[in-house]
Amino acid sequence: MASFRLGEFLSRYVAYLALIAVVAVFGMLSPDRFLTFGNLGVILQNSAVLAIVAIGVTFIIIGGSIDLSVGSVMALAGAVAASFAGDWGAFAIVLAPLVGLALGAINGAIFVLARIPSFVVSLGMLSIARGATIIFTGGSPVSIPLTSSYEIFGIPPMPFWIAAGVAVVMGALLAFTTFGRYTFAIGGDEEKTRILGVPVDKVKFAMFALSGALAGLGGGILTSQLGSGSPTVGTGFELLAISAVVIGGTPLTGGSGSILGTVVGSLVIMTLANGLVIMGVSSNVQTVLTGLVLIVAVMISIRRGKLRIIK
Amino acid sequence: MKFATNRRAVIRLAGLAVALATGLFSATSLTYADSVKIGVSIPTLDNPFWVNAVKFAEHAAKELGVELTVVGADNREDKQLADVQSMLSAGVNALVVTPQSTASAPGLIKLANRANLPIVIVDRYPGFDPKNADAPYVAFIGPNDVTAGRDIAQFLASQGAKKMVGIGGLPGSSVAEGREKGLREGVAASGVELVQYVSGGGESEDNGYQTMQNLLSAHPAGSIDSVWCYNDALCLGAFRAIKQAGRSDEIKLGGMDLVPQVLELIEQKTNMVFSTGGHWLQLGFGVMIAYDKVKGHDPINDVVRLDLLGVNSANFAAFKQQFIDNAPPYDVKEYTLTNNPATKSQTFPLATK
Repeated sequence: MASFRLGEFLSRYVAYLALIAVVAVFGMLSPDRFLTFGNLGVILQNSAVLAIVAIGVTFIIIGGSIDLSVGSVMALAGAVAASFAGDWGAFAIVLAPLVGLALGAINGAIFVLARIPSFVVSLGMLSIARGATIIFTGGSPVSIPLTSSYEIFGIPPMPFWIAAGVAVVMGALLAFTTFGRYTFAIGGDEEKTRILGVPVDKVKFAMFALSGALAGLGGGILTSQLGSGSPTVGTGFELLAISAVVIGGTPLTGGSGSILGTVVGSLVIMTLANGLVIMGVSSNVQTVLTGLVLIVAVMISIRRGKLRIIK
Repeated sequence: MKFATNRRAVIRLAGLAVALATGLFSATSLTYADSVKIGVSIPTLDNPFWVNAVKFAEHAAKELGVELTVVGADNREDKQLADVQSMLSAGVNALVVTPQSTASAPGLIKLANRANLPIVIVDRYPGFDPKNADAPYVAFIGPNDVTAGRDIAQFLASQGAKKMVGIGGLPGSSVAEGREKGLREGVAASGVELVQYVSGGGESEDNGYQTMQNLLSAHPAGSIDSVWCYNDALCLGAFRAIKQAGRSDEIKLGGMDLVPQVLELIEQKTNMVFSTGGHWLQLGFGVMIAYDKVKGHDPINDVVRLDLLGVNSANFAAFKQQFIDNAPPYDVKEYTLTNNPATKSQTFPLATK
C-alpha cells in the first residue's frame, strides 16, 4: 500500500487547495451574495484576461526564464487594436496578438542572440513598450466608437470562452507536444538539454514569442472591456501574472508546472478580490492579502529537497 | 495508510492554517436590511483628496440611510472593471464611479447598462453626454476644471507673480486639459508670462519634486517667481524642491485639492499661498444624485460643474472650521429630491458662511 505523504500531497495541489479555501471562507461569510451562480460567473469573467496573460508567462517560467514586459505589451497591443477598431470592427482583434507576437519575438531574439538575461531584456522591453504606447497614442486614450462591433470581445461570456479556449490549446501544447517537453527540459537542466541536441535557442525564442502573443491577446480583450486603448493600462500587471503562475504551483526556478495550475492561480487571485469587494473590505487590505496568499502558496508548494539554496 | 509527518508537511499545514486565518480575519460587514445599497468605485484610496471624498460620501450616506460599499482601484483600469463587476454581483442598486481614466469610462458605463442599474460618473468626464444612445448614464458631476485652473493663476497674479511655470497633470485626462486651459486663460487675462508648462509625469508628490528640480535648473534665480500646480500633491513636491534650492523667498505656489499638508502651509503663511477645491464633496453629491435616481427621481441637472472654493491665508480660519473640522454646515437631506421635492439643487454651494 502506498504511503500517503501529506507533504507531497499539499505541495502538488496547493493551487486547488487555496481555491477551495478561499471559496469556502467567503462562502461561509457571505453565502447569499458570494455563492450565487451569477457571482461565480463574474469571477470567471474577471479572471479571463489574467488567465490568458499568465498562461503565456507560464511557458517562460517553466523554461527557467522570466518575462516582466507583459503589462506593457498588453497596453501597446490594445492601443493598436483600438485604433483600428473603428474601421475594422471586430476584425481588429487580430492585430492584438500579432503586435504581442512581434514584441515577444524581439524579446526572444535579444535574449537568445545577445545572451542577455531574460530579466534584463524583459525589464527593458517593459519601458520600451510602455513608452511606445504613449508615443503611439499621443498620451491620450484611443477611443473605440461606441457602436463598433469590437465590443463583443468584452461582453460576457466571450472573455471566458476565449480564455477557456486558450487554456485548452496551450495545455495541450505544453503537455503533448515536443515543444512542451523541450520547455520542461530546458527549465529543468539547460546544459544537459543542449548537450542532448535539443534546439534550445529556437525553443526559447518561441517561448517568448508565444508569451508576447498571449499578452497581446489579453490586451486586446481588456481594451474591448474598457472601451478604449489606454496608455496606462496593464501597469503592474506582470506582477499579478507571475503571482498567478506561482500560486498555481509552478516554481520560479522552472522545470515543472502546468497550465491548469496557472488557471487556478488566476482564479484564486480574482476570487479573493471579488470576495473582499462583496464583504465591503478596504482594497488596501486586499493588496496585503494577495501578497500573503502568494507567500503562503509558495511556502506550501516549494520542494525544499530539490532546492538547496534559496536566493 | 501511513501519514508521513515530517517538518515539510508541518510547514505546509501551517501555511494552510495561516491562509484560512487571514481569510476569516478579513471579515467585516455591516448590513442594513432593505436599505438602498450604493457601490462607489474610485481610482485609489491612497490620496488624501480621495480619503476626504470617501469621508464625506459616508457622511451623506449615513444621513440618507444608504449602505455604501467603497472600493479603490489601485490606479488600475483592469482592477476597476473587476471591482465594478463584483459590486454589481453583490447586489447594489446604483453605482457612483470615478473612472481611472477617460479610456475606461465607456466600458464601466456599459457594465452598468447591461445590469440595468443607474450609474453616476464623478470627477473625470467620459467625453460624451449623459443622454447619449449607446452608453447612457445618469449624471456627471465634477469640478469646473477651467475655472479652477484660472483661479489659481489669477490668485498668484494678484500676489505679484509675473513669470510663471506650470506643472500639469497627466496628458489625456480631461481634468488636466481643463485646468491647463484655465491656466492659459488666467495668464492671458492677468498679463503674466507663462515661461514654461510641463506635465508632472504623474500626479504624486515625487513627480512634483522631480519636475520642479528640473524646472529650477532650467530657470536660474530671478527668472521665475511662481508655480501653478495641477494639484496639491505636485505642489508639495515642488515646495520641497524649492526649499532645498533655497529659493523659497522668490517663488510662490498655488495648487488644487485643499490637501491637509497644504492647508497647514497656507495657515503658516509660507510661500505656498493658495489652493482651491472642496470638490472632494462631489463624491457625496454623486451618492445623493444616485440615491434620488434609485427612488425614482431624475437629476435636476445631468452635467454639474462645481465652482470651487479658493483658500488663502485670509479665509483659512473660516474654511477650516466649516469644512474640515466639522461636516459641512448643510443638511444633506434638504438637497435631495426624495426628501425635499422643492430643492433647487442636489449640490450645496461651496462657500464659507
